[in-house]
Amino acid sequence: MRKKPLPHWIVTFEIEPLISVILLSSILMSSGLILAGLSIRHSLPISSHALPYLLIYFGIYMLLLTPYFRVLASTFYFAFVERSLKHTLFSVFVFTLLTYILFRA
Amino acid sequence: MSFGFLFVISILAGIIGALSGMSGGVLLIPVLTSFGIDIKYAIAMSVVSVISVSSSAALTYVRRHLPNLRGAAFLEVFAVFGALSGTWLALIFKTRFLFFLCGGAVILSIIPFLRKDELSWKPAAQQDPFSKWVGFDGSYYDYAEERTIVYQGKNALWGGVCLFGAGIVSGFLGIGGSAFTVLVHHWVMGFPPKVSVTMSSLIIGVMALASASIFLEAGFIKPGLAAPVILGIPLGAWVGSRWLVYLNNRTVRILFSIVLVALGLQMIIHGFRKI
Repeated sequence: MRKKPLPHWIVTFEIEPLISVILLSSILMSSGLILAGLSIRHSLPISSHALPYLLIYFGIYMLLLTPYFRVLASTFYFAFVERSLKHTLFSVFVFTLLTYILFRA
Repeated sequence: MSFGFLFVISILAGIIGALSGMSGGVLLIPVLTSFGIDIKYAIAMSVVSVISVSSSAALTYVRRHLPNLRGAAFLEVFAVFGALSGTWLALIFKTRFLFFLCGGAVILSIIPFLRKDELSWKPAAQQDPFSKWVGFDGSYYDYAEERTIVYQGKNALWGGVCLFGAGIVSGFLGIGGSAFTVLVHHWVMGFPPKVSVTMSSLIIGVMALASASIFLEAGFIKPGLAAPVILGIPLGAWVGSRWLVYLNNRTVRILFSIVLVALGLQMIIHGFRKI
């Protein structure tokens, strides 16, 4: 049975620019959140305020999620663009394992 | 330890990471422990720094279509299992053994500095069927040589086993994962040096995430320590990558070899004091 032809935008789709955007935006957001948390902590009179620590934690989580989002993007690429079952399975396996340990933490 | 001091150390670690091709943890762990930070917290910070460095580096490499994403997808399965095993070992091992092992790893990390030649590469004459099935072949445009390099990776299964080992080292010690991974890609699987380094950047990020999740769950990632590391390491890596062009290779090798041996010995001595 022949495979159904893919739409043009999928055939010409490249994963590399998407991965670059994911990495760059995660790094910038992570640094931005941490900087915001630190500046609020230094500007607030009460040092025990929760907001700065919350922002710093979000920044740390954002950094940790960078490779996670990259694996997710690769999974979609292998599944829908390359349509390679074995590579999709490899990526889904890693993604599932990361999801389990990350959200358990 | 003050934010400013840790920020400066992280910048220095980032510079060393960029100059040596290793993660900044090789400097971060000995310095943090010498100021009384528990070695497990130091390893956790090193793991966080690996994610920061690998993401920054991979950003540039991926744009140039250098890594073999199909090969990386296969190898990540082994690497993640290795990293999880290594991190669990680090949490149950006694602190003094971690000092010995980390100290040894820091001293051994001078090996790349002692190499006089760059990684030489010849295309593999033939590819085994399994490596072909996994998708270890590919090509990229080399801007330095101004031509397209076509390659065929080999020994996919052995490479996977070695990556499991690299994951254990990375998760257990927080350092050494990137250097080990690059060597496995190059020597065992026969990837060209640039492909080896760029695939390593992607894979060590995933290994570090697996380890960091366990450290996070165990409460070893503290915002006060992590914040300056996350901000300082990429800044240092950015500075280091620009310095690299102007520095004499021999000077860099000698200087960092002395520093790393001193830091490694200091960690081992610290381990003996804990007995």
